[in-house]
Amino acid sequence: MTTNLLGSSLVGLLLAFASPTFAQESSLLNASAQSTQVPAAEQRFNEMSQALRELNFEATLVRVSGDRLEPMQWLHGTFPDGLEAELIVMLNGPDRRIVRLGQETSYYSQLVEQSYSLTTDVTYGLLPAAFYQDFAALKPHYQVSAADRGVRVVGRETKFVRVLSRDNDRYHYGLWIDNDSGMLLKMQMTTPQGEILEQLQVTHFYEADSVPISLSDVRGVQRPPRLLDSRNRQAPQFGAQPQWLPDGFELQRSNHRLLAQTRLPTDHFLYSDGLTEFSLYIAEGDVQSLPNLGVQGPESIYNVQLQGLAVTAVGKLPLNTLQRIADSVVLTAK
Amino acid sequence: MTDRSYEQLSALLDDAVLDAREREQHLDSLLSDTEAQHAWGRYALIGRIMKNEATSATPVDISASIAAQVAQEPQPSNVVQGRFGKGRQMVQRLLKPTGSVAIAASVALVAVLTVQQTQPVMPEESVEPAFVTNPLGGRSPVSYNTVLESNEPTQAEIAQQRRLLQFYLLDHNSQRQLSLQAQQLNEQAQQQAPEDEPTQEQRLSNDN
Repeated sequence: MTTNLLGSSLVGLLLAFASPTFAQESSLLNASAQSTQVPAAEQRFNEMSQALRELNFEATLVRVSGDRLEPMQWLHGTFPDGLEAELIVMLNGPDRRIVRLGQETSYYSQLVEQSYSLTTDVTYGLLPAAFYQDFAALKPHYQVSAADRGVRVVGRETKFVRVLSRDNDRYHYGLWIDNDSGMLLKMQMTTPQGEILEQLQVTHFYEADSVPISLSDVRGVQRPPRLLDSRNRQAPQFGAQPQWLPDGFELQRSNHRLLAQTRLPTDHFLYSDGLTEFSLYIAEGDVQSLPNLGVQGPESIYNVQLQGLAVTAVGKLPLNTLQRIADSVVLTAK
Repeated sequence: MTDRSYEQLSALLDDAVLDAREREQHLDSLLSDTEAQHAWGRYALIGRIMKNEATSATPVDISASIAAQVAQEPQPSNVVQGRFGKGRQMVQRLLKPTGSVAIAASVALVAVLTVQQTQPVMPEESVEPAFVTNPLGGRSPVSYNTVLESNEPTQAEIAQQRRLLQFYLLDHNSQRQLSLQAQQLNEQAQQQAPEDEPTQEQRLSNDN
């Protein structure tokens, strides 16, 4: 009897001992299964996009393009009722601000008539819109790689992630992501050859528990009028189209209009690969009168005269890519 | 003019010349003498100021000097005059991008301006001399790469081209924003669509 009792209690003990380790093993298995599904570098990118949406923070950063420095204040938070708020203030030169509340982004300028609002849930102007989404959307044409350790940025330990184009026809990004919060602390945009074109460097970062106080009065601010498409848009008229595009670029919009103040009759095509966009403008060659030229920079521009047409390509792409696209334009129909 | 004639002028201004014939004489000499006319103007102004009647809004006539200045200026080229509005407005448009411009646009603008400050490079030359002749002395912030260059353009043509390039960059930026907005509105419409479907079905069933 006693031995039986002893035996059963022993079994019970063993069971009690074994079950937690069992659970641990299975959770380990799950974790390893997840990491094989989503590589670590991709996970870090996704953590960053999540942090950009969810963190409450106050930051100061500097944007560097060439020899130009732009310091800015950057605040983000989510109100108790779930409304996301973001505020970016230019600290040098004319007072310009971007305020985003949920899906309404407003651009304030000192000149009232130059202020406007956009319906979009990402703040256009600081980071590529794709950085607010999971990497999955970029996967067909970009890849991420991660270093084990990043350097210290703003006194914080970071992880380094690179976003590379698969075909070297696009610019690359280097991202330094905070270990603790997932916040983006530094960014470099480079040519495929490694020349740095644009950098963001956070110089002060404070993560808060709730919405930063400076954001609390943003909700009451009057919003400028919505930016609208011009009403008299027409379909493209010159019947010219590019015969080559880098993989993944898709037509977003196309129309025929008079180009801003120049009153230049122009066909316009906007293409995007999910991370970057470029525009193709086509006008009559003898009216437009630009020489053949090309400039590579944060926004490259290339102009060429082809078959009596002036073809201009503009975008965040290497000059070689824009050149190849513009040179491939052919009259397909008239 | 003598002190005596200044006195006479002053008296005339104050309506203190009693004798009618003398007054006519003074007026005649005033009308024939430009120096006297200037003195008259000064005296009148002094009088007004002392009586506190002068207004600061009194226009100062500088049209003659401006006309002379303008006549000396070289004739601007037709290219610049033709397409863009008048001076100040044009400058403001250039400095301040119009309505639909984001922060990124200003960066692009600067990039173009900086590039344009350098002289055009002939294709057979290497890129380096362009930096040396850069009037600002600094290196261009963007990699500078002139693919081809036609005949040497005039200053006015370069200004015109610079402007056109800026408009392309600005337009590209506003189109990106409009595209972003269009995507968002599209998503919203798609999200609302499933909610609308049941009501449509209800309507259909009602019709039946």
